[in-house]
Amino acid sequence: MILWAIALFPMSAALISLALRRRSAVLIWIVAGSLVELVLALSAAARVFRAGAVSTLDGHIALDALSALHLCLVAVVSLLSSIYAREYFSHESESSLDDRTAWKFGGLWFAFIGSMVGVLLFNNVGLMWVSMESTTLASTFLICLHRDRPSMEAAWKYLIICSAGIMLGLLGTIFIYGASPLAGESALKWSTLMDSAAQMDPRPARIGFILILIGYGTKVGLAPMHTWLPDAHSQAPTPVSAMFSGVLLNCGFYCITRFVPIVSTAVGDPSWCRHMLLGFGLFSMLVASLFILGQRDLKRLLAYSSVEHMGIVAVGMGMGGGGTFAALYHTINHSVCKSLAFFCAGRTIQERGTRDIEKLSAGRDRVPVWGSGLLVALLALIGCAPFSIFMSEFLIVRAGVEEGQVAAVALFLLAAATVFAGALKPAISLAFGVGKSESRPPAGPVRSAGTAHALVGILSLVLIGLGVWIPAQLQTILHQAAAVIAGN
Amino acid sequence: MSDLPHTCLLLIVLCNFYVLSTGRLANLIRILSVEGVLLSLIPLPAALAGSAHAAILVAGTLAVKGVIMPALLMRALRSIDEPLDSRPIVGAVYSLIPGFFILAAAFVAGLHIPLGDAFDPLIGGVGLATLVTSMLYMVNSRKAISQVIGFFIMENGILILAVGIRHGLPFVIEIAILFDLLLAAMIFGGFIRRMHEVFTHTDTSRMRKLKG
Repeated sequence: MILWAIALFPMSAALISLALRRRSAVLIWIVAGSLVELVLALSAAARVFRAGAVSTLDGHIALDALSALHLCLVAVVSLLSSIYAREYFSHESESSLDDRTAWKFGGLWFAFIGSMVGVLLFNNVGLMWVSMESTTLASTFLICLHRDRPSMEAAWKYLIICSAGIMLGLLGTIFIYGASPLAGESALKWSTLMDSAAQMDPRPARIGFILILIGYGTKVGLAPMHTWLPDAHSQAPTPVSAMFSGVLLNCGFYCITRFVPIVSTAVGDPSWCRHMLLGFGLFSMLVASLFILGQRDLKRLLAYSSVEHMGIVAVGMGMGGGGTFAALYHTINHSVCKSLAFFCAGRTIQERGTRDIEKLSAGRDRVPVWGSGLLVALLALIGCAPFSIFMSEFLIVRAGVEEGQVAAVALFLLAAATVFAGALKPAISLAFGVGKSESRPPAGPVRSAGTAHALVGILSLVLIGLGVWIPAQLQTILHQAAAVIAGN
Repeated sequence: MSDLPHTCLLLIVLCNFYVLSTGRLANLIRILSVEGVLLSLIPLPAALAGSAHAAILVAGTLAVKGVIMPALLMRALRSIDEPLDSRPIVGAVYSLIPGFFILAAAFVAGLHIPLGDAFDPLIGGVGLATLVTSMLYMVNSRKAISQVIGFFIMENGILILAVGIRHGLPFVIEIAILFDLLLAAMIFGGFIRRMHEVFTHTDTSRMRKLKG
């Protein structure tokens, strides 16, 4: 029952948005709607974590520990981004979101949330694919809300690359279906595939997994399929960038992790899938670290950092042992941190009228709240202690050492060190440095609303809090989710 | 009647070659519609044998891929007043040559797809050929609309492979994919029109502002 509510609420919220005629009404409605969705998601997730998976519709819709964890992340980041959207659009020119187009924004916003929720709720890998494809369709017009040339170009790249990429995910799903000994309507259910995985033909299962990794990996932004990501993240309005980076990429990764236990069992060797993940993860980290070095556009820097962190998650999954736990922990940390980073970067860019890192210095004096938040977020993103991202990266490295993956650990540290070296200077000069040239004459420090203080404060505290202490309940939840990926 | 699927598949191979060799966008959309009709005929024998699911599938595919999707693309094409040729990067005649190689390679590869005895290598070959040809076509085209046509043909290729692997996907999934394609055609059509408003052209090879 509650699963139906979670699945259908965003769609009805989207329909309600179509009736709204004022931009202020839409911006309030997206906050209220995502709050309702969060309450629904949390109550369902609490039941799952206490009493195990729930399902409905003959098992086609289900929620287990892994999807419940991701569902909570989607709901939390949607709410935060919705709150931030009010703040962001009130400082944006009327032309980007006026009363005439606001209903479209509201509708697409909820459709986007709804399609991500669909990805997580469908226990049927075919329907999961359809939802993943519709996330692309729902979010394309969110990227080009501004209707200018660069954002149209970015949206087109996103639409065509992700649509074509995700098609390979469908082909991979078909190969897994062909490998399975069962046929019929329920043959594509994840639980059915898991039960019959031992009888699968390993050769098509391998082909299927590679195609799935490339297909869904396009959506995750794993290199070399990441080319749409920096453009889309940098050109989209910032609340949308935060949703992309914070949860859309996770949803893509979630799809890949669903197939890991199936294919591992079918192949009969869990290290085969891990090696694939390890390879793609390390390659993404290295590519991203090179683009972060010398990056001048703040939002592109954050976008490449997303490629890097998705690579880290893939490496974590690929390490085996405690790596899966650490990768899931890292997913949470990255979502929190990247939301904060985009929120702060977006408002800083609005106030200063440029996204060039060299011109954006001295952020703490000019936009005190957002500037400080950006410093915290950037330091956390590049892996400074005591933030939580440092902890999860440390756990991944430890898992790698325990499993004897020395070469992988070395490459991981190399890429992480490159990012650290490349982004530390921008992080510090963004906060404290002396501006070279100002695109706008300096005025006094920008006053920020209470919302800004609350958003930045709470997210920064979460980042530090999770870095020094993982609550026992969260540990249990992460272990439950890791057990799903391990196939227990 | 039992050979109807195979006849349709061979006609689809001919369509692929026509796609590679024609330059006129309107003809491309027509050929996409023909492919849709041919695909919808594949489950026809099962439908005539009394399967309600197959009958719905025939009707749905015919409506979405044969009529609505091409109509949406045609509307987008009419709304942009540009020269109506696709201006591929490598000319039509030269892209036929890799087309032949792809077909030959796909039939060889179709024999080796490891999916057991139930797998029909002819269907596998046609599916693979359609998939790879469409990818080649997408890479080779400059106009947004011809890339979209390539995308839809790619999707056809994957569904043909599914027919070869398991006589098609489960019914619910097939219907969900059709619905998704319908949405995709609407979004692509709308996007192309907006692209034309903003850029006054839809030549994606001239959009290279975003780098680094």
